[in-house]
Amino acid sequence: MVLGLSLALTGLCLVVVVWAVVKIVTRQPVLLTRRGDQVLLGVLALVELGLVVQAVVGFVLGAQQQIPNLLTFGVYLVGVLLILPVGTFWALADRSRGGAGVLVVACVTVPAMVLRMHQVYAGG
Amino acid sequence: MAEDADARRTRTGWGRVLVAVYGVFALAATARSVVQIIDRFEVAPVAFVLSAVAAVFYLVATTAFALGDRSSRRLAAFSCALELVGVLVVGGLSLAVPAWFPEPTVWSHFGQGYLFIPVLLPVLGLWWLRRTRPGVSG
Repeated sequence: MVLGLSLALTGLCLVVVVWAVVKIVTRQPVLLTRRGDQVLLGVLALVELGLVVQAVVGFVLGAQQQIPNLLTFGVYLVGVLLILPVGTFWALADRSRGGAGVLVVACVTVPAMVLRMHQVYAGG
Repeated sequence: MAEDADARRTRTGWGRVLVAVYGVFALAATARSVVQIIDRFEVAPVAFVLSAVAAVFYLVATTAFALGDRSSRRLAAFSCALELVGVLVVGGLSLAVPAWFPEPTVWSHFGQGYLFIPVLLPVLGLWWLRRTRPGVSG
């Protein structure tokens, strides 16, 4: 697996977590009309793009090498792609600071899944 | 009208976050049990069936909290109660009869592999239902 990509994606997710926590503390909803939140969504889109790249790389590696838990690995590669789109949709539909809380959940889940993916890839 | 307001209440604010966490667990438990059952069911039939049961309850709870109308709230309460019983019984069994659980599941060791969130989630769910119950302000 490409460690650099995973670390970069984890870093971006943590930036979103910090941003979202600030919004929770200051009691602001996530709104598409705000400039800052548009940048936030841009970052989320970038992470999603990175996750797609990771899935492609993962499947190529899976086809080339013998991975002990190939099925589990594949499910993680595809499953992690669902988190941000669904999470963002659920967050934006809320008009309270709950929306920012949803983004925290999503952006903690993604690095956790990426970590598990690496463990599975390594044979764990 | 009042029904709509109640439904909105169940899924707004912290309820929104609760649904998100439930959604993550629904995905995790479903994916895990599907993989376990297709790939190696014979290794640990008891554990894997219980994983599938957990997955179903997480899916039910996620949907019920997200809808939040009166019948959904009842379904959410039922689901949380059964999840709590499930995680406590499976957690206990996994310690008492480790041979039945050669592989970790969502509920074994009280959800240790998932930061004990599986044992906290139904408690938080029941608390949230109580806090947002119809006819109580705030």
